[in-house]
Amino acid sequence: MTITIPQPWTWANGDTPDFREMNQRTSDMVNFLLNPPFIRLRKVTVQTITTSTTTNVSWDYLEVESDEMWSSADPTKIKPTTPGWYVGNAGYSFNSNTTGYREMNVIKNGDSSNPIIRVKNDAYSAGGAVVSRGNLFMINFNGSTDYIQMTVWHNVGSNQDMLAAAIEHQCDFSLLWLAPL
Amino acid sequence: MAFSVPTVHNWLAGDEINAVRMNEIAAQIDFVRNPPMAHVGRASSTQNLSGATWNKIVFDTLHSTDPYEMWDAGATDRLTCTIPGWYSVEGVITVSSTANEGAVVLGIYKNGFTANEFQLRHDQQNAPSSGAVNIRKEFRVFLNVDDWIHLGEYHTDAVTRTSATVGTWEHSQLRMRWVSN
Repeated sequence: MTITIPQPWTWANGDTPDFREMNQRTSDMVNFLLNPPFIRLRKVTVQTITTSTTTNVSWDYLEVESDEMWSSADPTKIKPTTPGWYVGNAGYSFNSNTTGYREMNVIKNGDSSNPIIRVKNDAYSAGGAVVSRGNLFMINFNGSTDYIQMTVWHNVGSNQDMLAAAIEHQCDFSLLWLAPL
Repeated sequence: MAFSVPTVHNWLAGDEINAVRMNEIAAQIDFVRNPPMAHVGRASSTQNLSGATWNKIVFDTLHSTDPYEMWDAGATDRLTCTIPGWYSVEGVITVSSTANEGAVVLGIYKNGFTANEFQLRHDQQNAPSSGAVNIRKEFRVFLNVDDWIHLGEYHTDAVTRTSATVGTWEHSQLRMRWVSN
């Protein structure tokens, strides 16, 4: 379902709006601004990541959505149907291991060569989970074909799990409509 | 004082366009133009941060106006929601550093300061050994009236550090801004 972005009305002398026009020219605009297209996804089950393999995060918990941007049938993709600029936020975690480094990328339309945001973290030398949440970015969508995914990577040498037991560790992803194109 | 999101009128046939309705529109526009937000910091003095334990940041400076009364001088370790909705929450920790330190961790908590209330975490392993460590992270969370947010800091070694104040803006901070119903 595409949410139509209301257009501002320029009032002229003599305008005598009926109730439908008052809704179109005022209430619809305010309702859109009070409830902009918004989605937040979390990863609440463990996903095992093969070493040295870029892997799409497969989302499995839809916390909130106002614009049908995600489907469990295609769980790695978020596809806004309302065009515009969005402010996004993404984060990931891996279980405890002292080897190598971890990397998260947010990519648009499958283009891994030009990530929207890239976050890298060394494994902690004394051990402990690698957690990086709250990474902010901005991005635009055409509302039809554009989509976005989050990928992760590590080079531990063996499979590693992304943590999911506690909210503080769960990978998450959100988009909030900010402005028209 | 109780606050609320302005009600958006659904115009019906026969509704009169009068000053009451037009002022309702003005109130709606004013709300989306200037939504609930508060920005606080630990700016006036340093705060001791014990090692290997979570420290709750106590704020001493209100950086923004606070018309929705989210910061209470009697409870300076939090921001409290007064209008329900989705909020953008941003935390910054600025921690004094020394050589050979381990990890520094930022945490954001909701309605408490135990593992059960832990919402967001970011670990910076092998923190820089020179200059203050700065970590800035943001995420979205739904808050009901009287829900509150804490900002926490943890560092792995046993040394007591401080929430540093460097210049005008390099210090621990917490910001909450209403973004959607």
